[in-house]
Amino acid sequence: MKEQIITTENATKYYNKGKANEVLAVSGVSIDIVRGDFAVLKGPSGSGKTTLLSLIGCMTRPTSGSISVEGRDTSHLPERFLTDIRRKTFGFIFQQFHLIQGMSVLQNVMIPLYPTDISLAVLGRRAEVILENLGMSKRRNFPVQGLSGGEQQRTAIARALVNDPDIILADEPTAHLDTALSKEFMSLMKEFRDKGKTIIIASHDPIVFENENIDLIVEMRDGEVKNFTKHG
Amino acid sequence: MSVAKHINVLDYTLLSLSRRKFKNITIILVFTFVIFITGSILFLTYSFKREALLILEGAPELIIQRMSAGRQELMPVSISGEIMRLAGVTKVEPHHWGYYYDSLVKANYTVIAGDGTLSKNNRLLKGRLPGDRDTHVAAIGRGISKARFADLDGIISLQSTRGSLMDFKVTGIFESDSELLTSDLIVVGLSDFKELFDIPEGMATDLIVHVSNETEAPVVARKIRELFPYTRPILRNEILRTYDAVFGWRSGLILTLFAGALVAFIILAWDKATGLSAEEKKEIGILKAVGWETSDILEIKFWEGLVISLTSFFCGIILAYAHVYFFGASLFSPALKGWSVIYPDFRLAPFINLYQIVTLMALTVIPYIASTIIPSWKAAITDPDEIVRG
Repeated sequence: MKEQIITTENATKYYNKGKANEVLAVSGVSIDIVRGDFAVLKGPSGSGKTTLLSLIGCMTRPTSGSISVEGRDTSHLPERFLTDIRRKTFGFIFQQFHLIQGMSVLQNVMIPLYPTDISLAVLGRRAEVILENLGMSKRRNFPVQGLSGGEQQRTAIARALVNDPDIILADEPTAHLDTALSKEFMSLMKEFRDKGKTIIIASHDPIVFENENIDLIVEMRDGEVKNFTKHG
Repeated sequence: MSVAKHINVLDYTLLSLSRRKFKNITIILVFTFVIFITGSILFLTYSFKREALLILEGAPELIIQRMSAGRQELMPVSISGEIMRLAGVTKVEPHHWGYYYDSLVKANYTVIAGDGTLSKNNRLLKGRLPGDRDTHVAAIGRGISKARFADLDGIISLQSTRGSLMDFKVTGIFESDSELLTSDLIVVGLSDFKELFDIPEGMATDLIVHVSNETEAPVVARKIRELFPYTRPILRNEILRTYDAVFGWRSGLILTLFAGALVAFIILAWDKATGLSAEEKKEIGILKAVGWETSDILEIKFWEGLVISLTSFFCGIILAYAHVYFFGASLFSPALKGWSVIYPDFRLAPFINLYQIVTLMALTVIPYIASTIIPSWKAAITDPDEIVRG
């Protein structure tokens, strides 16, 4: 039996709770994701999938309910422990890529590991290997603002992989890509899944949630899980 | 925490600084300018005050001048005997000095008769002082030597009050810890002095009174004032306080003139302290999201603030030092020197007060670092989720 890597129990998240602009982003979500799953959080804009991804990725805490990552309840952990989990367990691919402008591709890829004991030389070599695997080594010294959309995304993927995470989280990764690049992205994710990574993608793009390699689709609407489909 | 981690963070800091070259260079320029102005004022004010102290170090405790209609007049030497009889007075001697306006170089010189009353800080760079019986010889300051192209054994001509031209052979040139004191100085023999300014026999510019105990000087001064109501006794401490007040006031004047620059800097610091740009907030959010701790982000911001503020501080201080001691504080010396602009140019003796430098550093570098760290800390303790979402 496969190990549960992410478990949410009745997870609820309010933004600006108690204020006039209070928003209930996620309401009573309970899901299980097992190690090696290729999961998609599916739903229209405002359905709560990005917030759920943030909760899973320890980027914010639930207002109520609980989130467990690799068997550890992260709902009430102090910030420094959450930071440690983010660095060691997760690789993030953001919708807008969120690369740091003015830095080269290589420097952007190295960012997650700067505040670690790994020397700059080792760090650089590790980032170069990942860029090579993603076909980006020729662009390693380019400033990221000069890259195409596809190249920016590959850089973001390389950054997400540099710490060799168990779980890759991607938020609307194909939103700024054409069909060919979107399919290429999904192939890359499959490769990582085949290498043992757990992939969780929030998307409302059919190229993503209709992909044949998806193991699990969590369909969301108005902050709630409406449907939970397990393949294979 | 290992050294490698700090090196990595420092490396990222330098990368981060180089990414915002224009912004950081602008901050460094403004910051440097503010330090340059403040540092120049500090150097100049303290150097002047120190010069004043040097001047007064060898000065007598008490000087007596004769006043008439609120102006100084020549003093009869004959009252010396009565002053000598006062308890505590050890010596009374006439003092002859005056100003000579040189229309050739448009500057005022200070002319003194004899060497008895010169400050102990004055030394001759070369040559000798005029002897008691010497006539038509003079020792001159370096400023006059340069202005009149008169070196040792050269001739300097001065026009007497009666209109005749008097030639003086230069027998000595002064050096001094205080060029302010000697730059414009001419020392001549007593008979030459009296001829130059047409001083009648038995008269002096003022009287110098030496007392056995310095703390008794105010009592002696009061007794002289009672005996000779037309006199004005001047205590050394009074002169010192006047110098302090004058230079303090003048430095305040300069600070006011440059208040605009200070205000601009304060606004810049305030702007930094009250908020980060959306781009900076986003960057902090990204760093947090990919696993940077709040302390790592504060470390970058600390290094950033330190690099910018220390670079600016040292550039500003070095420029201020060069401005004051190598270029004669040409930017604002007219306001600080006041009436002394009519003197020939002089050079201040380099003098650094470490306490001042450390205070200036504490008042500029620390607030700047704090203004860099505080808003970053506010952003860094926010959930990365909020920052990344915008």
